[in-house]
Amino acid sequence: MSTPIIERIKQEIASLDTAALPTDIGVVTSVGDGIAALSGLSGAQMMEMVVFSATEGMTLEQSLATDVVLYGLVLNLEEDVVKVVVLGESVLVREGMTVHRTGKLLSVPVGEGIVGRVVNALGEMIDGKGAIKTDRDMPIERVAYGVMDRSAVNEPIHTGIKAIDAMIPIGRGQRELIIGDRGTGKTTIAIDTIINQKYEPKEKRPICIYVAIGQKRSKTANIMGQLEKAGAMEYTTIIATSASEASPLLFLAPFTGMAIGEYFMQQGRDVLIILDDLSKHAVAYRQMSLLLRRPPGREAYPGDIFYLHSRLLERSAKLSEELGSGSITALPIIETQEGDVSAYIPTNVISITDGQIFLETDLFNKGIRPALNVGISVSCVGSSAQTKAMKAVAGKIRLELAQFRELEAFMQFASDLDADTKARIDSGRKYVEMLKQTQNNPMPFYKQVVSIYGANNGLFDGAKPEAVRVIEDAYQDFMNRDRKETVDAIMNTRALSDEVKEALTKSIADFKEANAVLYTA
Amino acid sequence: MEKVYVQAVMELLGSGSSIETVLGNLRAVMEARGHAKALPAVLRDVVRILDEQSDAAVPTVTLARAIDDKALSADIKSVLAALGAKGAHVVVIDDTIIGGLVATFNHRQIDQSYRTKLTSLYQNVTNN
Repeated sequence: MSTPIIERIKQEIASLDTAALPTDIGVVTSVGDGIAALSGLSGAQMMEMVVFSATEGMTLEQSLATDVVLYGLVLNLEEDVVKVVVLGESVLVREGMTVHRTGKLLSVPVGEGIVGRVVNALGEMIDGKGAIKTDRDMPIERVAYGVMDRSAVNEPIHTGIKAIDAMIPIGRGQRELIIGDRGTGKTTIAIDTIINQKYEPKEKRPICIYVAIGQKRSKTANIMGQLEKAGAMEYTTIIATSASEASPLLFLAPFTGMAIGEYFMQQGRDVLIILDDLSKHAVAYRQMSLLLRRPPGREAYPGDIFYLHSRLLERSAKLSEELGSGSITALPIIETQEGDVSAYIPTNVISITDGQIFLETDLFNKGIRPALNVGISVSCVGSSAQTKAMKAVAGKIRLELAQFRELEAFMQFASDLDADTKARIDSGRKYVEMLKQTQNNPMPFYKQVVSIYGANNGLFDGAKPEAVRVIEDAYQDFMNRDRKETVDAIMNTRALSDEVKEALTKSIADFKEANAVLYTA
Repeated sequence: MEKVYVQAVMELLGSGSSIETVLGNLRAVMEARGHAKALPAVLRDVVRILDEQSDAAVPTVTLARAIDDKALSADIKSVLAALGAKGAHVVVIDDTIIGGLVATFNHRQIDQSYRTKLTSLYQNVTNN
């Protein structure tokens, strides 16, 4: 090629705008297990993003073909080294590699376009549906809103699960822990809650964020399939980190979820975030901390493991009217071992949250699903957010079940019991049957009110406990078909007026008269 | 333990003690304490730190071709001035940068290489 042409091209390249300002650089002195020690970078900040020059020494063609930007996160500032966790393939990092400061704290791109998408812990799309249109970056770590910025929790978030909405109600802005052994239905409750949001009016429907922390990829794919099938993906974002990913990414995932949630909360929207699960998050943080040579404490967790979860969950809030009344409701999940809730991480998270939903293996194996132990499950702030309609019917159910639990042990002596005790046990068994629900089948709150009102007012009297669910289904069909105006009145007013109560009582009598065959079966 | 020995050696060298005295005393102390096996590791760390200090303290300019040192002398001068470097600089030849220059001094860098310019142009075009 002729020299003038080459010279002209060089002039063109030289005129391309790149920063002529000096950048701080460091050099990798050692690397291993996803942790790199750097010399230099004396001005680096905690949680700052740094970029490894992964293409150093490559030709232009090779570096463009590689298309890898390898980030690191500053987590230890020591006297003579800076320790950085590698957010990606740490095998690409080698001793002597140059590392550049970015001057930015780790942040994720957010915007309306992220809804309905599956992203990784850095907010990058992994669903193959093309680039995500984002508005701005949100820092993944930020101080939670202060007392004056918040308002009391006063609006319900319905899970669609009768036992929870009636007895352990959750409010928007609350943090309710779901805790139980493996295979007791923790994730199912969370997914049902997401699916149930489709019954909410569009303007009140929360944006749902499901954060999979160290889950099997097959499980995350299955959850995505369930949500898509139920039509819930259109208001849901999934942040997926799998068990095979580096521990720093697992550590970042819930913070990324919170950052995305805060973006919507700041716009006055409601957000529901599921953190599945914080036990694996704690394990990932322990691994990372031990590799960073931070001192281990109880069960080898670092000393700040409580602060890690408290600062994460404290970011869920109900904002004041001045700030737009947005909210983040957090449903963290903890997996226990052999039902041991007194282990380190479960007790920590129990003390941080505003209530717990305990799930038990025994109940699950007995066929009581959701396997909710209503005796020890609590919700500290949710009752003030319960709808009037639900409040009106839920009081009795708790009392009935408490009495049933007292008498449950005597069930095997049924023939020796007096009539009153027998009646109470029978009533309790029917309530337990009524509270059973199948997977992916959440029930909108107005239907729940209809069922529970029926149970409180003789709908199941004269029926065997085994027939309860059949009767309930038939009664719901009957109400939707023949008494739609009563159901609509509950849905719209969210209260039980005397007229509605009268109509419900009459509908029970009419249903029983028309369906006597269900009671004799 | 090794870190403490390294720190002690660096402080003694920094205070002006002769290298022979420092090494002799270090060996004697480590042997007396039964730490003689750690001596090679300590010495390796000291060498690494001294290397880093000397590398960082010398301005380095990476060029694509040796002749660019003269051709880009004005640019090199202004870039080194921006980094606060004075005196002679070391030239490193790396043809992968295609053209332009990369100047490094005291853990700070200015990258005016063609490779970086073209990469950033490519990224801007493909991302937008």
